[in-house]
Amino acid sequence: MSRMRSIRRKSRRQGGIRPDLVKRIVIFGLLTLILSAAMSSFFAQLTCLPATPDLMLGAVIAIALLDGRGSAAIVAVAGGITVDALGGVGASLSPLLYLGVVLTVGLLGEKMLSSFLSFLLLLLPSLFLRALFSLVGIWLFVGEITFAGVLTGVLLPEAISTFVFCCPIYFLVMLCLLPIKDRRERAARL
Amino acid sequence: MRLEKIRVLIICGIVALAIAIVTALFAVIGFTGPVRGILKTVAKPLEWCGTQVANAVNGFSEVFTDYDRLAQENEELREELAALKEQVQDDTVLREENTWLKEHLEIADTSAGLRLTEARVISRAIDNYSTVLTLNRGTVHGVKVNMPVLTPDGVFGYVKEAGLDWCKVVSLLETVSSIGAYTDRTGALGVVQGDLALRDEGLCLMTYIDKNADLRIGDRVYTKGGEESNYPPDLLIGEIVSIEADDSGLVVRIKPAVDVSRIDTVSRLMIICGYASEG
Repeated sequence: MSRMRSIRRKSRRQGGIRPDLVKRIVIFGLLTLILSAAMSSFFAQLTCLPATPDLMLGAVIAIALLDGRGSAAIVAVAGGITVDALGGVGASLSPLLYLGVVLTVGLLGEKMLSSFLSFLLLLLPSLFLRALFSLVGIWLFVGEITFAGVLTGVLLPEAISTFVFCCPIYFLVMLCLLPIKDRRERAARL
Repeated sequence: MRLEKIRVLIICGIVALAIAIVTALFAVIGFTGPVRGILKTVAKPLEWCGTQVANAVNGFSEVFTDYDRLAQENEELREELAALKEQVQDDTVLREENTWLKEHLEIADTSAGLRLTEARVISRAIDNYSTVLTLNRGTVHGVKVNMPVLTPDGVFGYVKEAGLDWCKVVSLLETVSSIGAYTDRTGALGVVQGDLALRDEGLCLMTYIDKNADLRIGDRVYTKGGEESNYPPDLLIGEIVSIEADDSGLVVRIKPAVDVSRIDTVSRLMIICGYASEG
């Protein structure tokens, strides 16, 4: 009870909810919704693609690199729920996958610069994690599988498609962070 | 600062785990969580836009990727047109109209008493290993879980999840799908099931067939119906494309009448919300 009061007092001292937090919620919320909708409608229906790319994977890595692991963890959970709600059936396991990606970025990307090259390097282990996740999903929901068939039929096309379409996502996240970062930098200068 | 980051990660981890467990329990009891329903409804316009753009792109890319098929189809249509021109000129308009109407009323003709709700595709599953479609009809339109879904060509699958104004439909190529069936020529009974190995070829299996059953390639397979089945009787599932025998009995491959891979927003899907013998 006293802890709650101290949090409220602290919040009041700081002038209530920070505007950049609201901005971040709105921007990341919209980004999550648009990416999930694009995955389940546009990309899932394109017949020329070998598989539907996992754009949220790229968004989570980019946010972890450009805005911090805390933001990325929250986007991972919210994004996972949204992706499963729009394009999944049954249990919602994607938040666990994306959180695993954030942890991977945290472990491997600790000493990396926030650059596109780091993003590409971190995308590779994340794709491996995604493939493991898909494999477990197939094993749980489809039943009997042959590894070779799943590798060529699902895992490889999915990895290639995700790798290609995740590259622009890095720059999209960068663009989305501009209003937040600008404000923060201006405040720091003052 | 570092401690705070770890705390955020731990909280997110617990939330993610709780979501996984709760949604798994919901899936077992066949309940759709409110969050999923709300998100699906909110994202529906976005998904609709995405699907329209995808259709436009597909239509454009088809010109290059499916050139041979389109050329052949074009040739066939030319021949068909020439044949039609030979027919009595006065009947042409009426004949075309009749054919079109017949195609759409075929189901009602053969299986009288079906209560159908027309639906359109708004999105697809993103997991790359299941053919699950989201349709623009839900519980407000009278749609319930396990209701069969058809196209004018035949059976497509069944409703797996139903939300307020959307539902998720599983195709008969999926391993979770099984339909009691019979063949038209000899009435041999069996169960049509999805099979992972055959799914990419757009085929499914007919199992539990009597070893001495008289089957031939080209035999048509229909739904058997009955009290334990969600499907009404006499709906076309597909036709037999191969018959093999192994230790467990006959292995029969079925080519569904509906080409699942070619279902898009233009396709007309119909959900059977009830039928006469159901009462």
